Order: sequence, then C-alpha cells, then structure tokens
Amino acid sequence: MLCITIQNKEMDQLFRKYINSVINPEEYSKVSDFLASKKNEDIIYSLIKPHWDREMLEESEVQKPNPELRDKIIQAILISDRETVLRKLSVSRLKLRIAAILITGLIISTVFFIRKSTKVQYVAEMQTISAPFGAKTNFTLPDGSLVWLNSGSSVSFISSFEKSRLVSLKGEAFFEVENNGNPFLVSTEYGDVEVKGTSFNVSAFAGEYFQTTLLTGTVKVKEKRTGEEVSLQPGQQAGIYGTDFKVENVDTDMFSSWKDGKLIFRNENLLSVTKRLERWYNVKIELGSDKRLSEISYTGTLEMESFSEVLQLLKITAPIDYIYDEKTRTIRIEYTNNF
Amino acid sequence: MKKTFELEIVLLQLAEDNPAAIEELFNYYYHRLYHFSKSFLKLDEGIDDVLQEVFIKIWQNRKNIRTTHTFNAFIFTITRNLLLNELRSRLNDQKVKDKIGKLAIPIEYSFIEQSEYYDLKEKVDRAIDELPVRQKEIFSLSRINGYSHKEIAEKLNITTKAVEFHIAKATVLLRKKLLNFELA
Repeated sequence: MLCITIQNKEMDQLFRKYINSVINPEEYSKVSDFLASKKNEDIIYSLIKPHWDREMLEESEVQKPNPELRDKIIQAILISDRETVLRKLSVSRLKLRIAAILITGLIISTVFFIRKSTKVQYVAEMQTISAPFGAKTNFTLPDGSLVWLNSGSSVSFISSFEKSRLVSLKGEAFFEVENNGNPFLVSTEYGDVEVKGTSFNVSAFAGEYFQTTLLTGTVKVKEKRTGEEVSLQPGQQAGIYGTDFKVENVDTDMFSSWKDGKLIFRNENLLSVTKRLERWYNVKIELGSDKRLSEISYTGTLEMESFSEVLQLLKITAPIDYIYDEKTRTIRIEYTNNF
Repeated sequence: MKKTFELEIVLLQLAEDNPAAIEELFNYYYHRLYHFSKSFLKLDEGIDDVLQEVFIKIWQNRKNIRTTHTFNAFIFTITRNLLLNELRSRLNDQKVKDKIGKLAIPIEYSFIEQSEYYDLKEKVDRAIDELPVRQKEIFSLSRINGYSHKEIAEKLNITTKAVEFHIAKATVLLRKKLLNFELA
C-alpha cells in the first residue's frame, strides 16, 4: 500500500511535468508507458482531476472562438433530433434559392433558432431538403453547387453556408461542387467527404454500405469511426464495409446514373436490387426464405420503366415469382421451380 | 462589458431542448477544454473532433443533466475518457509517441546533439546548476518540480510575465553553456 502511494506521488510529479511540457526524455518515456497502459486508468483519472479543476477555474484571457466547429456541432444536434426541435421552435419562411423542383412531394423544412450574442441578435437557420421514397429531386445550394437527391434521402445545411460549406447527408446524393476556394464538406453518419470543386456521388443509407464515387476532380474521404483518410482519383470509389475501409476502381456510371433517371445493375444480388427498387418506387418488397434467392443476381439498366414492368423483367430473367398486395403496397418474392 | 455565464440558466435551457444552450456552453467551455486537451494530447490535430463529441454527448444526455453538480461531473468524465482513449491509442504508435515527446520535452534538451542520454541529462543538470541564483530557483521550480509559469508566479509572489522573462533568460544562457560543453 505504501509503495503504491509513493509510486503515485512520483507519477503525480511526472504527470504534472508532462502536462506543463517540462519533462526530461527519461521521464517522458516513463510517463508515456504509464499513460499508455489501460490498467493504470483509475490512477490516471485521479492524476488528471486537479489539472482539470485548475483549468476550469481559469478566467480565460484569450478567447479562442471557432465558429466553424460551433456551427458543425449545432447542426449535428439539430439533425440528430430534428423532430424535437421542430416541435419546439418556429418553423418559418424559406430563403433558399431552389433552381428546380422536378418532382412534387419534395419536403423542405427550415429550423430557426435565435442565438444570443453580445453584439447582435443573430438567426441561424437550418434547412433540410428531403426526397421521400419514390421521388427524386435536384436543387442548387446557395454557393451555386448542384445537388441531385435520391429517393429516401435528405440534405441539411445552415444559413452561413457560403463560408463554411458543410452539408449533412442521410441517404444518397450526387454533388457538382462549385469551386470557390472554400472547402465543401459532406458529413454522413459513417464518413466525411471533403472537396473543392468536383463531382461525386455519396451513398450513406442507414444499414447499407457507405460509398463515395468520384467522377471528376479530387475528394478526401474520412472514415468517422477510425478517422482514417484517403484521397480519391476520378473513377475511384471509397467504401466502408463493416470494419473494412477500402478504395476500388469502379464504373462510375453505375453509381451516378440514378440522377439521370436510370437504374443500373451489374451482377447485383437480389437483396440489394430490391432495396434500391423499394426506394425508387416507394414500395415494400419482402423476400421469401428460400436460400436459393440469395444466389440470384441481376445485370441490366432500367430507364423510366413502370414498377409492374420492372417486376415482369425480374421474373422473366430469374426463377422467381411474386405476389402484390395492393393494400399494403407490399410485394412478396418467392423462389419458383417453374422457370 | 463581460458577459456573465450562468450555468443554472443554461442547464434550464438545455432541459427544454433548446440548442441555444449548447451554443452558450460552447462559448464558455470551448477554449478551456481546448487548452486542457492541448496540455494532455500536445498535438492540435484531433482536438476539435474530441470536443465536438463532448458537446454532442452533452446534448444527447441532456435529460440526465439537471444540476450543476451532475453537469460538472459529466463534462469532466466525458472529456477525460475521450482524451485518455485518444492519447492511449496515439502512444501505441511509436512515430506519434516521438512527435508528442518533442512537444513535452523542454527546449534545452535539443540544444546539443543527442549523445548518450545520461550524458545529456548530466550536462543539462550541470548547466542549470551554474545559472545565477534567481534564474536557477525559477528554472528548477519549472523543470524539477514541474510547476506551470502561473503556479511559480503565485508561489514567489511575482507576475507570470516575470517568470517567463527569467525562464527565457535562463534558456538563452543554457544554450550557450551547453554548446560550450559540446566544444570542450
């Protein structure tokens, strides 16, 4: 017990020296080994506390404002529970320049919150553009960049957009970014994509793989979980597959043609095909339990086909059959031997 | 006019799901947290990512934060855990560990070519020993006891500026002495 106390006392001093950056090389190697070991966690916690207390009491002379980070945080929390915020705060007029709304059913919401500032009353707005299932849309951001939003996706950004160009994406969107010198950042649940002026596609649907596909220019993709970063060249795609973060060369058309009203499948398995169809046509598709269904894959391009035509196509090209329930708009796909 | 920060009021706003509360908290805590994180991680990179997570965690846990007491405990725990995790993973990477070391070890150890470490330390100690009395006293409080400039100022009842002045003067002198040792 005594020896532990003595050791802590020594560590207390070493830790203080470390914190104040006045530690000598030998002591640094000692303290860094100590800090790196998980079993010392509790002792480290108690070593940290007095330094924390002192820092928190400090009357800061130098303000270190960081409006970009502040806006990013505010935006993240607004998006994280938009519903709550919408209920509490007034939903009001729009100031967004929407170039074109191709499809009806587009939902735009604006969230205001008042910020108390020493100088002026300042209003920050968050705008969200959503494309419901079965609909797609495109629009122009305040900086002139173009966004194509796929079905079941939404993009949010705040009013001070032109300086800190940050959009938050749920689902899938294609971006054509105007180069104005300021970085343009697409933030998703799984990863961030940073660009200057370029065109690329980001897909980040909940429960599916995160993929960023670059058509022109350069982008940097950062995985949220590990912070790992890669730069993409045109024609490359960065994807997060579970714990795997990798870059591949791909046929970019396959990943961006949706914006031109085309669905392209290349050897894509039935499950993934049905997921895309569900969003595209706003329907529910259930797959039967037959294991052979998971072995079916499709290759082809769909363009302007009606949903019943698509189902016919699926049926004549693979051993499946389907039942459609009008009321629930649910399609059930089963494996069939009559092929 | 300095704006006052009333934690109780901000926590009420927070309990009402008002995002303006996060903004207030950010304005009050950001530079404090940044300074603290910097002293712990040494490198600037990654600090903002940690702090973003701190504020988002506060927002997500707002229903459990009612009193200033729980808030103070929460913000400490969350920041501490995130920082320690970050530092631990960085120290396991030898390259990053060396980079952190460069920032944690004071300048006098870089004045002469790294020969043998004990040799170097002995030389630095000897050079400190030969400093004028006042400089030696202040320099030792910093390098041996590990106190910050502010703490030394409080102990000796002088200004922080004066401490910085003595340390700067001592550093210049040490450099000269150490270079002489090397030539000798």
